[in-house]
Amino acid sequence: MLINLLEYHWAEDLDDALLLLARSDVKTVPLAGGTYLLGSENEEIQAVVDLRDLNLAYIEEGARDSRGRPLLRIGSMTTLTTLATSPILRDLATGVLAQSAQCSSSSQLIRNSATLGGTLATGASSQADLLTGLAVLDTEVVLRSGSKTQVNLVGGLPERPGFALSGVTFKGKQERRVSSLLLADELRENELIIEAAFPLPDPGSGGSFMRIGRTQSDAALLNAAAIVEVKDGNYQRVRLALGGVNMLPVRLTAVERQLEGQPISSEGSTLDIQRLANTLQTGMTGFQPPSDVRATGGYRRVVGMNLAFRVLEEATNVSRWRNMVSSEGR
Amino acid sequence: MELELSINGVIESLDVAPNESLLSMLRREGYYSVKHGCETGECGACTVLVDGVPRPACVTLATQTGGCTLTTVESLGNARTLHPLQEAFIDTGAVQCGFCTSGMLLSAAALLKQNPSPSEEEVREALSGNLCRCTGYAKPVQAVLRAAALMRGEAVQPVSSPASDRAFQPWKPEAPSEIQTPSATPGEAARTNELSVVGRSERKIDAIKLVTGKPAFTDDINMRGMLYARLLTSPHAHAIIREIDVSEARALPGVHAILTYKDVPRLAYNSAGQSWPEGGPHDQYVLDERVRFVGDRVAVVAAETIEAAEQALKLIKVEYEILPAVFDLRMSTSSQAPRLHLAEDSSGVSDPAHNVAAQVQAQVGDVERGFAQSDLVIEGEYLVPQVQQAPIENHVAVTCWDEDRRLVVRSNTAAAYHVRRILSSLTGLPPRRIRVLRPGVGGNFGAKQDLVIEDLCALLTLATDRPIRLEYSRTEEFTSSRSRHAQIIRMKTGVKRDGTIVANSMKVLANTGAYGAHALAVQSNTGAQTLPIYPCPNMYFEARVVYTNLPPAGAFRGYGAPQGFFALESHIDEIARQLDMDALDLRRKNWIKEGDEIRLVRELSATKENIERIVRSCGLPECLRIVGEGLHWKEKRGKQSGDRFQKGVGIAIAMHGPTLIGPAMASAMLKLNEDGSFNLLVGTGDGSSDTLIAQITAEVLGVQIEDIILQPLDTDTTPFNADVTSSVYSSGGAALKAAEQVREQLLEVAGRMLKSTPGQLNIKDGRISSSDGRSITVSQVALQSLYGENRHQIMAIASWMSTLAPASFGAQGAEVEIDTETGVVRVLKCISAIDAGRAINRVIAEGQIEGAVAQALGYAVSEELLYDQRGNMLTTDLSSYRIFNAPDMPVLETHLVETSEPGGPYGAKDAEEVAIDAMAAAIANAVADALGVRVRQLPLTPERVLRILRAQAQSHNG
Repeated sequence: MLINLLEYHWAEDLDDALLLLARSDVKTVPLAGGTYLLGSENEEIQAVVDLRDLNLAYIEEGARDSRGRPLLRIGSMTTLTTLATSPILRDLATGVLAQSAQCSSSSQLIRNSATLGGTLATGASSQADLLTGLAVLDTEVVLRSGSKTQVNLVGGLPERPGFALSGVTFKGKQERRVSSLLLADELRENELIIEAAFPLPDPGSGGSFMRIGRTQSDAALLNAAAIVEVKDGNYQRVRLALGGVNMLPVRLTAVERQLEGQPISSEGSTLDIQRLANTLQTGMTGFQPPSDVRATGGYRRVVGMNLAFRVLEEATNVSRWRNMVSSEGR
Repeated sequence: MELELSINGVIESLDVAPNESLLSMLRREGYYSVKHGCETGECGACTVLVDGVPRPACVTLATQTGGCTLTTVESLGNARTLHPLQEAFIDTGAVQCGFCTSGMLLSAAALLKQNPSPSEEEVREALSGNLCRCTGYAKPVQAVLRAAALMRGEAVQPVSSPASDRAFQPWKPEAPSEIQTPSATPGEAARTNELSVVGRSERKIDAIKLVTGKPAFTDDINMRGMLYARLLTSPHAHAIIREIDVSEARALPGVHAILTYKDVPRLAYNSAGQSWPEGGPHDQYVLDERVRFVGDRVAVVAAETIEAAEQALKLIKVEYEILPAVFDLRMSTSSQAPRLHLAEDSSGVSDPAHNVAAQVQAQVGDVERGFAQSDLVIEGEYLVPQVQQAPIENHVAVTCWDEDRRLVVRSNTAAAYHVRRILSSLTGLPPRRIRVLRPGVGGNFGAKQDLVIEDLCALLTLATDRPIRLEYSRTEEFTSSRSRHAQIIRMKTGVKRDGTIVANSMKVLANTGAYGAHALAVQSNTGAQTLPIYPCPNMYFEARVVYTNLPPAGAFRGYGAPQGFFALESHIDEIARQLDMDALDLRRKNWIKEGDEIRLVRELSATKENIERIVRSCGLPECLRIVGEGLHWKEKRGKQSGDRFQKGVGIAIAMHGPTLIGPAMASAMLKLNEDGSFNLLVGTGDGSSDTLIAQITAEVLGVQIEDIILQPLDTDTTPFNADVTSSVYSSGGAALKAAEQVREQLLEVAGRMLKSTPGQLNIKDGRISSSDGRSITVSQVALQSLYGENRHQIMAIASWMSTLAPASFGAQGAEVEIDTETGVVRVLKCISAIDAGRAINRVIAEGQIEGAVAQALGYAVSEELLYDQRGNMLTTDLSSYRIFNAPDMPVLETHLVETSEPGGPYGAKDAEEVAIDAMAAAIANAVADALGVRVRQLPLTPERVLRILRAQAQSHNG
C-alpha cells in the first residue's frame, strides 16, 4: 500500500501531467500500469498522475531518425501484452522484442497491466526481459519534463498595458533522448517517459532471444538477445546483450566490434563456430553480472558465454537464410 | 474522492481514498469473489476484468478504474444458471479449495471471448497469472477447453455425474400414510450390493458456492465496529528487547490497543495443532522479550483502519540488544553457538544446552551386525531445503465476543479443536467460552495446522472488546508462518550381492527454526513412513532436531515423508547402480507386501501403543508396473546420448499411513430433516475431503449426495476430531458409522410404517422399499418420526477409532531433459500411480494427486527459502519463491490403482499425502539417469546441476 498517497490526478493533457510531476513540494510520480508501483509500498509517494488518457499507447512506423533511418516508436503506455502480441513486433528481428515482452512476467495478468514506460522506469527491479530486448535494438527513450513560472504583472504587458495578468502560468517543456541502457542513471524525477524508439533493423537481419529460469516461465536467471545482419558473407551489424532478473542489461560491444566486418564462415559455407567462441571468450572478459537470490554472478558469467554463443549462432543463421531467400528473388 | 464506474453492469458512484487498491474497494463493497493472496499481483486471486481485460486488483488503484467497466465472478453466472465455464470447472473437478477459482474463471472468460477455440497452450498461458496450489492445473485447463467446446455448441461427454436439480426443487410433503404400491415386478427392490454413490465421480459438494464467488472463506465477512490488527516483527535474528515504547503509537488517532510482551502472560506453549497431551516442546510465548528470528513477534496493534495500524507500527520504539545468532543446523549444537531456549524458560526441550529441540531413535534388529553381514555397504548424504506451503489464502482470523460474552474465533485453521484448547490456556478462558468457526479454507497443506495468529487476534478482542481482524500479508506468510523442515539425511545400507537389503539406517539432522512446534512428530514420521517400505531384519532410525534463528518449521503435506523418501529412493537407485542391477528389480526384491508387518513404527510412536500394523491392502506392484510402462522404462533407462540436451527417466515409490500418535479418532453427527435431507457435522482438517465423506454417508443412507448438507466446522456443534488432516479413512469412517446408526433408525420407523421388519427393507435413492415392493420416501419417515406416534428426532453421533494403520502406496515417475550448457532441468512428464484403496470419487482423487505432484515439482526444481547472512529471508514473494504455474507444468499422467482396505470406509484409504512423497526422488533419479551423476541436494536448480556437471567434467579430465 502507498500509505502516504493523498492525491490522484487523472491527467487529460500531457502538459498538465508534466506540471504535476514537476512539483517539488509534493512527491508526485507517474502512474502507468501500477504493477510495480503499488507493490513497492513506497512511503514517499504523495501523489500519482494517471497517464492512461494521454494517448501514449501506440506502436508506429514512419518517422526517421537524424541519420534518416526509419524508426519504430512505441508509446510508453503500451502494455507488455500489446508488445508481445503486436504483429509488427512479432515480425521484427525474428520477434526479439515481442518474445522479451512476453517473457517479462510469467503472469498474463501482470503483462496486461504493466507498460513499456513503467518497465523502463523501474529498471532492474522490473525483472523484465524486455530491457534486454530494447538494449539490443539500440533503443532510445524519449523523456519530457515541464516547468512553470508564475508571474505577477499587475500593470499588464508592455504591448497591452493595463491588462492584468496576475497568476498567469508560463509553461516550459524540455525533451531529450537517452539510450535505454543509460536510463537508470539518466532518468530525473520530474521526467516522464513518453516513448521508446529504435531504428528498424534491416529486413535481412536475424534475431534471437533466449533465456533460462528455474522453471519455464520463471524470471530469467539470465537472458540473451542478438540481432545480426549478414551481408556478402560478413557480419555487417551485430548487436548482443545479456540481462536477467535484478540486473540491468549489458551490451557486449567488444564482441560486436570484433565480429563486425569479419566473415561468418571460414570455408564459405558453415558458420565458423570456433571463431565465434573465441571472440566471445575474449570479448566477454568484462561481463561481471551481479549475484541474485536465484543465481550467483559466477553462474551467470559461465552460462552467459553459452547463451551469447547460442543467440549469435541462431541470429546469424537466420540472417544468412533470409539473405539467401532474398537473393533467390522470392 | 468519488469514483464513477460500472461494476457487473451497474453504474456505481463510490467514495474511495486515493491510495485504496481496487481489491480493497471491491471487497469493501461485498464482491468477495475477488480474493487477497498477495500484494504484488503475482498470485492472481484478485483477478478482475477491467474493460474486459483480466488484471490483478491488488496492484491496481481503485482510482485507476474510474470510468471503466469492471466484471467479477458474481456476474458470470449464478447457482441456477451457471456460465459454461463454471459448469465445466465443476464437472471436471477443477475446483478444489476454490480460493483461486474466481480468478481462473475470469482469465478464462476473457480468453474465450477473444478466442473461442484456444489450444491447450493458449489456455495455459491465459491461466499463467492465476496460481493454484491444489489442482496441478490439469483439470482447470481441461475445464476451459471443455467450456470452449460447450460454447461452440459442441456436444461433450460429462466427466462427473450430471448435475442434479434436486436441492432446488420445491418440497411437497407426502403424508406418511401414502404408501406407494409396487408398479414394477415384485422383488425389484431386493437388497443389492451395488454401490450407487460411492465410486461415482460426484460433483464437489460445495462447488457451486465456490464458482459463483459466494462468501465462503474466513475473510469474507465485514463486522460492524471491526478493528484491524497488524503485527510488528523483529528485524533481528536474535535479540533481547531492552526497551519498548508504544506511547506515541498508542496516541495515534484510531489506535485502540497495542500489545507487547509486557501486556500478556508469559506462558510457554507449543503452536502445533496436535492431540493432547501435547508432545512439546513448549518453547514459544505469545509475545516475548526475546526474539529468535527475523519475523518473530514483537508487538501487535489494533486500529480503526489498516493504515492507522500500519502507521502505529512505525511509531513503536524498540531498543534491541542484538545477540549472536546461528543459522546453520550443523553449527547449532556446537558449544560456540548461542542458545535459543533456556531450560528454565521452556519445557519439553530435549537438550536446551545444545539447541536440540527433540530427538528420537529406534531400531529393529542390529544394524551394525547387519552391515557386517552385508556384501556391500553403501552410504550417502542428502540435503533437502526449507520450503513453504504457500497456500494462496493467507492466514486470517476474525475474533469477537458474542452476545453471551463467549469468544468467537473465525479462522482458516485446520486444527479447530486444538486451537480452542491452546487458546484456552493462553487467554485464560475455559474452552466452554471459546467457539472456533472454520469456514472454507483456501489451501492448507499443513500451513494452517499451527496456531499462528489466532492468539494475538483473541487477546486484542479481550483488550478492546471489539471484533478484530488479523490477516497476514504474503511477505509475512514467508517470514512469520511455518514451513517444511530442512534436513540433512545420512543413509547407510548393507546389501547382499543379489540385492537383498540386510540393514538400513537413516540418520536425520533437521532444522526446526526458532521453535519446536512439530519437531518430534515430523521427524519421527520421516523414519516411520519411509524405512518400513523395505522391511529388513535390521533397521535403524535416528533424528536430531535442532533450533536455529530462522522462521519455525511445521507441518507440510507429507509430514516428513517427502524428505525421507527423497533420501531413501535416491539411495536405492544408487545401490542399484553399484550392484549393476535394475533399480525397479531392486525395489521389487525388497519392498513391503500384503501381510507384512510395518516395522519400526511402534518403536517410533509417541504412545508405544500396540496397534496392529499389518499391510492388508497393497497395490504397489501394479503401481510400479503402470509407471514403468508409462515411462517406457526398459527402452529409455540408461540411454545417455552425449548431446547437449540429455534425457533421463526415474522412478520412486512411497508408502504413507502408519500413525505415530496412537489410534486415529474422528467423530460425526447426522440428523434427518423433514424433506429427507441430512445435516452432517464432521470435523475434518480443512474440508478438502468433504465430498468424499458426503458420498460415503449418502451411500450408507441410500440417498443421493444432494441430500447431504455438510455444515462448516463449528466447535460448538461439530463433534470432536483429533485428526487435523482431511482423512477419508478416519472422518469418513466416523461418518459411515453415524450413517449406519441413522439408517437403522430409519428402517425401524419405516418398518412400522410398512409393517415389515427392518431387515426386509432396502433404501435406494431416498425411497425405502419392502420386499413386496411397497415403498415410502425417507421424507415420509422423517415426518412420521417427527409428527407421528413416538415422536423423536432421527439422528446419531458416532465416534470412530481405528486400531489399524492402513498405508496408501504409490509409484511415481518422471522424464526429464537437462540442458548441459546451463544446468536447466526441464521435467517433461510425470506419471503417478496411487493405491488409495477404493476410489470413492476418481475425479477428486485425481485432482488431489495432481495438486500434490505440482507441489513436489516445486520441491524438486524451484522452491527453497533463502536467507542472507543476518537471517533476513530473501524469498519473500511469489516471484523469488517460485511455485509452478500452468505453463510450467509438464504432462501429467495420473492412475488410481484400486485395492480394498478392510478397515477403510468402503475400502478407501487416503490419497492426498502419499502423492507428494516420491515425485522429487523420481525427478532426482531421472536427472541422475540423464547425466550419469547424482545431485544429492534439492532443489535441482540450474546452478546446482551445472556445478555438479562441471565437477564431473573436471574429475574426468583430472
